[in-house]
Amino acid sequence: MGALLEVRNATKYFGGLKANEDISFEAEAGSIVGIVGPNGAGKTTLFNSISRTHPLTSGQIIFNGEDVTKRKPFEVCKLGMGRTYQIPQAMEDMTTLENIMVGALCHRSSVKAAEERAKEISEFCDLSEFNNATASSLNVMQKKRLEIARALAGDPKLLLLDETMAGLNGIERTNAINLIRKINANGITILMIEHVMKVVMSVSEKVVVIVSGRKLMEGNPNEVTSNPEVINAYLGGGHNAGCQ
Amino acid sequence: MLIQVLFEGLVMGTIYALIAMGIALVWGVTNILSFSQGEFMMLSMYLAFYFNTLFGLDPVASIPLVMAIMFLFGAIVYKTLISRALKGPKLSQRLITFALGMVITNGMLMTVGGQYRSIPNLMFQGSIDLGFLMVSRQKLVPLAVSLIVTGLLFLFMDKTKVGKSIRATAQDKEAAGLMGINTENAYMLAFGISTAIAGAAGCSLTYYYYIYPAVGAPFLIFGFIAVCLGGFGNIAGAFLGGLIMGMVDLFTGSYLSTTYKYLAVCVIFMLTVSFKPKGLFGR
Amino acid sequence: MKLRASYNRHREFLTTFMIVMAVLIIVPMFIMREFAMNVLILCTIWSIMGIGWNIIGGYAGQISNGHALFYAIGAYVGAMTMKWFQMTPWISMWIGVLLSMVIAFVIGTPLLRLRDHYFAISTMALVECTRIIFLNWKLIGAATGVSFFYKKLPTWYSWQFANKHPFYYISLGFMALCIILTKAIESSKFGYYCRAIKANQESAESSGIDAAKYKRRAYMISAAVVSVGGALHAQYLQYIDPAVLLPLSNSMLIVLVCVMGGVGTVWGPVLGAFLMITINEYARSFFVQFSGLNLVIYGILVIFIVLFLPKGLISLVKKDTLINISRKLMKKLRATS
Repeated sequence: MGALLEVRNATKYFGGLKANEDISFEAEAGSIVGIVGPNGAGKTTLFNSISRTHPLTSGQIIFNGEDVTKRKPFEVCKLGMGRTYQIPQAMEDMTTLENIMVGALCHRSSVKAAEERAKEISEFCDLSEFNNATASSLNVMQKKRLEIARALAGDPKLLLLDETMAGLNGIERTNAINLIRKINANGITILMIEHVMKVVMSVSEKVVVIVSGRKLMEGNPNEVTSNPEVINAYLGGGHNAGCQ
Repeated sequence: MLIQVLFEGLVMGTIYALIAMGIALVWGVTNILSFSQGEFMMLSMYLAFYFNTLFGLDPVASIPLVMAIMFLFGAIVYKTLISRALKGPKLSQRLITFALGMVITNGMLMTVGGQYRSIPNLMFQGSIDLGFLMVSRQKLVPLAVSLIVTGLLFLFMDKTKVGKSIRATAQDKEAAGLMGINTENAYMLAFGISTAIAGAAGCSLTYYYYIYPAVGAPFLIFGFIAVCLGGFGNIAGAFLGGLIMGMVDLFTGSYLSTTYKYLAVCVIFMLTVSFKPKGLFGR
Repeated sequence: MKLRASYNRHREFLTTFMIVMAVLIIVPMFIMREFAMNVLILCTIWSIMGIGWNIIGGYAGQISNGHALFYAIGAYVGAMTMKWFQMTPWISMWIGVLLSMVIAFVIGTPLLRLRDHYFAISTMALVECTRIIFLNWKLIGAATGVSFFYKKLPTWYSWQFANKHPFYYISLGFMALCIILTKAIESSKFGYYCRAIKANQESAESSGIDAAKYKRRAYMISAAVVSVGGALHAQYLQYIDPAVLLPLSNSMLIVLVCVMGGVGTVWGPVLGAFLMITINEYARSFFVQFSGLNLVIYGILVIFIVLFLPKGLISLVKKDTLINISRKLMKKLRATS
């Protein structure tokens, strides 16, 4: 299997501020790739460049063999890229099911078909009991699952997860990891930004380390956690890299 | 001739600027588009009229009094109506200011009637002939007043503690609250101040404009456009936007024709907003 | 088979629709007073305009304060074609609709890129521009406007009837169509997408929604519907002039009628129009000696609804609200006993 996503020399400037510089890596189809790095390293900026939320200053994004560098966010979604946000962005006055339906309508024109699919996805993400509740009534954990559900409903090939674990406790975290594994088992490639090293290490096959806007290194979890530069970067930023 | 038009444009522009700054202040702090600014101005024009006819007070002299009254009025309006509307949907906030404006305009129409009035006893009359420029005192006074009030407003917002707390609330309500600023008060003050500014504008305007219940409407529209020209909730931008509006108003009025001046203004606005969505000086 | 399934899904709506239409068809048959019929006609016309605005403002969430533009297009096209060609409104109305949609497409593309207050203000500026153009455009009557009255044409052709009832039923028919249109939109992919855009545009775009395209479509549809209202109104008054384009009058009233009733709902605009127009018209005739009092009452009513019924009048009618109110009453009764 080839690389589903290729990021080539991605550079993003905000005015004079260099947020991402010359970042390159690949995500193989069917894999789980973790993106780690200290706060403010530019991870979410990278995500935004990949999902086309903002334009790249230079570089290329190749998705499924196609150059999507100049595409709009809705176009890459239709091509098979789904994305969640760090702070869940639900459609607050719509119900849970309707939120998921919005995602499902991406590749379906019939509302009925979308509803069927949304019910399946809701089941898959353990949200069925909230189907008719308004999104605003859900708690943070449920909203995060809703984010993922809505993205899944669009039948993505690649799912970008932005700090799904933030603010979750032990049990919630385990559930989230299980969900991610379930999604990956269905053939969906996952690219996830995470702070919580433990999670990244237990789930990812490859880890890309971003520090100060640049790619520091990439490798399998063990290589990354034992690398002195990585440990330095994290300890410098107040994080403990080497948790077992 | 050109200088005459420039002068007249400046005079009108300062009035638009005052209205625009009031709108910008409320917009920047509370994110409400206030449709009642024009009516507040109209109310103050009537206040000036009555102070003049009953007590012989010149409009300029009554400015401090009118501003104080309007400030209180604005604060009351905020406390009773606006603060409750803020809890609801955004659209309703706009509509409540519109409905208030409607009530005020038609209330005035009902009570005092629609006839055009003007101030009989103005303190400053006549004109000064500068050779290249004929300066009418009736226009010079409002110009001076508007500039003074604008200057005071900038000083207030920039240098005083209260002004700074209002600006902080405008930038980030949550952060300001965490820093100990009473954001509710900041909102109320912002609304009160903007009403007071409309008051100053009204008093100035009575020097050379007729007073009637519907006088506020065109100023409101121009105020909106001026604020957009200047950029989001930016008071300085609104001021400049107002001056630009005044200039365009007078230039097109003198060189084209009165009928097309509004058109020119609107077209300029549409072009600006299409190419520079955040306004000429927006962030 | 498919029809049966649709019927089941929308049973509640269809029942309400049948009942409301039955009332609106039968009751006026017994109304003889001209004034009451006049009010009813205006209610249906404003319902249509509220429904039109609802599509862009209520469902798609783009608050336009400039829909008087499309009202004017519908009205003027109808008026001018009648005056010049004696064209029947049955046909000229659709010309107005087409023109409105084209104009909505053209101005919608740049304007809908703006958000929130900027969009609102631009629509107002646009209406003001148009007003000035119309005010000076001698071809269409300039400030004097257009008035038309043709006795010689057959009444069903010209819509000029001896009494008010036939016009009412024509207007009601169009209103019914618009209500069905709204329901169809609400239950369609287009409707879901509009609601998503309103709720959270960025999120909607990452979910595969071409926001620009859908906003524009919603704008075009709403323009078409409002222009139907305008055409009807002009034919009813047999008069139109540029004063309808004053930025703070009709444009805001169209918005008000919808918001007071309840945005983003099928029946909201209808409810809002019927209530507000009825009160306005009766107040106007009752207090004729106090010019402006009817609008004061109107304004106070709006303030009242904004403060106490933020979701609009429809929230009174919704079953949940009635259940909640009765629950609260039961609680209070139990507490006091």
